Amino acid sequence: MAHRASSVPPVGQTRRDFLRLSGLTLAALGGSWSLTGCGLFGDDSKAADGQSTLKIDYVPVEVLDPQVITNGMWILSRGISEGLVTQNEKGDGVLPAVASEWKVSDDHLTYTFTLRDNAQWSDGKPVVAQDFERTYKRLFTPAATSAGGTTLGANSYQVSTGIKGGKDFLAGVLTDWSKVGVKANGDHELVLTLSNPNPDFLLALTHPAMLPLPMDLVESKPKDWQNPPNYVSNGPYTVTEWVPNSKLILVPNEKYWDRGNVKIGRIQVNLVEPSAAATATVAYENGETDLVQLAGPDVLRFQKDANLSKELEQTENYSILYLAKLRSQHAAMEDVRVRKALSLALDRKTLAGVQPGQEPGVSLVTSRTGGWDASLGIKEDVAEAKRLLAEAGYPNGQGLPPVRILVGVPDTTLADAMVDSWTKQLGIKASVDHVEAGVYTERRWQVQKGNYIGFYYGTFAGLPTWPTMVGSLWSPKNVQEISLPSDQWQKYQSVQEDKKLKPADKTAQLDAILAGHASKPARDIGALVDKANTERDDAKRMELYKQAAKLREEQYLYLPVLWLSLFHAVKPKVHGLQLRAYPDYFYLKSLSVGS
Amino acid sequence: MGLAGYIGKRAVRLVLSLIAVSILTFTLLQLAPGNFADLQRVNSGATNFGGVGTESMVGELESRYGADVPVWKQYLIFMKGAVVWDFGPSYKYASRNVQDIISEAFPVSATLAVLAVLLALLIAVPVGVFAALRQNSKTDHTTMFVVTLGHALPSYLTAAFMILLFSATLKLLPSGGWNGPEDMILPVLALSLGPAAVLARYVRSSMLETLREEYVTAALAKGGPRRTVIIRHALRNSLIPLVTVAGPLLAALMTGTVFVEALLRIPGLGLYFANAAASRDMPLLMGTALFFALILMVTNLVVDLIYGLLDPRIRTVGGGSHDGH
Repeated sequence: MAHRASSVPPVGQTRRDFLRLSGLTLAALGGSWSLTGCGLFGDDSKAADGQSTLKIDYVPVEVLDPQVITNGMWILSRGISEGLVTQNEKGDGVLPAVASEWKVSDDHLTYTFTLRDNAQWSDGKPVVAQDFERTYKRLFTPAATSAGGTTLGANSYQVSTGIKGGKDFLAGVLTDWSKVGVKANGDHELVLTLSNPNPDFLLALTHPAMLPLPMDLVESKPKDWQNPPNYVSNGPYTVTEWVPNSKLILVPNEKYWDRGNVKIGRIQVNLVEPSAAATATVAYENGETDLVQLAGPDVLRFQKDANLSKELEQTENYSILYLAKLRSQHAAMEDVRVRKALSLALDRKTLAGVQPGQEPGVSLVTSRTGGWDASLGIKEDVAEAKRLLAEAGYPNGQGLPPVRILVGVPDTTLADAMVDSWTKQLGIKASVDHVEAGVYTERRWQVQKGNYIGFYYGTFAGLPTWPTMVGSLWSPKNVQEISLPSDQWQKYQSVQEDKKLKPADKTAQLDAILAGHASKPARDIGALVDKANTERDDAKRMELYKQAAKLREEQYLYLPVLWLSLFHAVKPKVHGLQLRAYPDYFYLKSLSVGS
Repeated sequence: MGLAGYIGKRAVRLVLSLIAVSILTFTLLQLAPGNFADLQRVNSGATNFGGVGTESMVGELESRYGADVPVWKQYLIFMKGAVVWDFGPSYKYASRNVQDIISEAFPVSATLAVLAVLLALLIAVPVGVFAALRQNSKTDHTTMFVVTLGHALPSYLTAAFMILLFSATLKLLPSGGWNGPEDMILPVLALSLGPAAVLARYVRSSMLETLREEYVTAALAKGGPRRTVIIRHALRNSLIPLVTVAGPLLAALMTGTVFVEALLRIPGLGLYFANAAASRDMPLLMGTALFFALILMVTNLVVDLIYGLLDPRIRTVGGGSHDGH
């Protein structure tokens, strides 16, 4: 363009204008190119020669705070931060990490951790017990008083840890921190006290919300501590560069206590938008990434390919796909016979065949949970389903409004298959109501108008232990809430939203509604779980959890549908990958890169 | 003085438009179902891990914007900061201020846009002239057919095709990412084809018009070489209208490369804008919407001024009637 314009012989003023114009364009162009030299691509200096580099794909990370529920927390627990303990290879027990050892009191309520004296932050400061106490105080500090609003949502987590006073401190009912069961004794001893024995407690400590934070830094730079070069970690790796929507660069934390076992020189974490996941395998097959999570159709392609199939790794039974009852003005779904009929008529075996790695999900508690047996499972029976529908007053579905499945995720394949299953086996009308995520979040808690009835669609993943499967996922409180009659549910929501109520009053009013109006079985589930939590005998405790789980299944408020697998593609040069059925999937520390 | 007055008038209009944009964006956001905290809960692993979000999550966000302030006051608080280029922290990217996100991500989008428009011009001018000189011939029709196809092809589809061709099949280029200049090739190509088609059509029709002008006939009649006449007289004058097209095109690309950015994993501002809307991130959405509106309006103003410089006839009319669209 510039060349063309200046080669034209002069004709009066226009030429100058043209030159000026092309000059401007060139300046703009030059300006932009010079940006490539100063940060357009980030201040990334490529890995030094001879250093091993690993590239992995991950979803975008918006926040690097483990106490904020975002995808960022699950990359931190992979090995940027390190907690008191980490999970073992299978994910069913714990190994020492910052804590070198611990003692559990005879009543299983007090855990005394000894912190190793060579644990250090990446800035060289020692990791001490006070770091943990201050971090947990931040975690349990109620929203309105926390600086910068960082405890967002992590509160939902601590309930399952059961640290004494944590829940009340968070709700604002308890304000004296010394009454909360978190205490640092000197630099190397941390004492955590529980309100009830929790056999899962050590595993629960591997959740990202329980990772320590460099609190001096968090408090001195409340807005900037997450951004490199400020970022400080205590795990095997630390963050040197973070370009949101693009990449995260990790290098070994030179101060890490077990530095000798950190084997990779540089890890590039590509932050890939879920909407670009369709092309994720192109990057993998093109050598731009060494490890990527795969979606359904790609899994099939990889399975069929002689070479690619060797690079496929499956995490079986990772999550549970379920349907939850929607509240409605129409009474049909309030009848347990209708809900049961719909569950008995789901052809889970056919549904499981729709995508690779799926199993019929016959119960909310997955079969991975130790002590699970088939007596917990639903026994599909179309004839019985038809009989129940007729008994409830809807013979062959006559008079039953169309049953909807409210879906807020992009892929409706499985929901479509469920609708198919119902229409074929029961002859009822059913449809998928596919909505934008924001509409989904709002509609699923509403009381649906007119004759809109059905379920919302969701997935859960969690530790395969009884306290998690029964006490935390589809918790007794959730079951009680979903069992409330519509009018009481609306009252319950208005108390929740009432900003003028004091925390203690709010909790009391909400509890009163549940105690007075939740269904009897829903309250019984709560009582059984409470009893299980305090039961010292292992066999008896499991029996109580099982009873609660069974009772929960019989309510058909939540219908288990499928147990889903997770698939990763991993290049042969990556060694030491230990996949666990936990949302961080694997730890970085065990990985190395060979030829 | 006339020019200063004109610019002043446009500046006032610009400010009023920005206020209108802010009110509209804010209102639409309030009307949209769902809120940031609920969406965050659903989309970010909270529900995936059995975390049942609590009431305090929502309370948290409200408190971030001043505890329990009514919605209209939130708007005023936001706008008060916006006036001095302080949009406050984003909800979603909680450790960053919106203005920092803009100054980090906009250069990325802008670079791609500038390069794409330049490439588009490089393609469009020869193609347009070529077609115009062979008006109504088979080559003209074929060229224009291809160009119309290019115009009809959305950039994300072009990008997907290019990933398939250059990355998946030929394995020549990275399929995405933002690590070095090689990562600019695919997005610039994908973004430039559509605009190249638009510009080529403008060049062709403008060239045809100019070729019919008397001064071109006169120059040819004087016996000047056809090539010189076409380049020196016809082409130069027929390119002037391009300024009015290329300017807004540039602005549109700088503000609207969402799909290509997502597909090619480029950390540009378009992606932030789309994410802000999807996650109901009020400060980020408001900040980027206002910034984009500003870019569009300033570009239009600059185009009008340049046009006035290039073609004095427009200046005498006052320019106010011409808005670059």
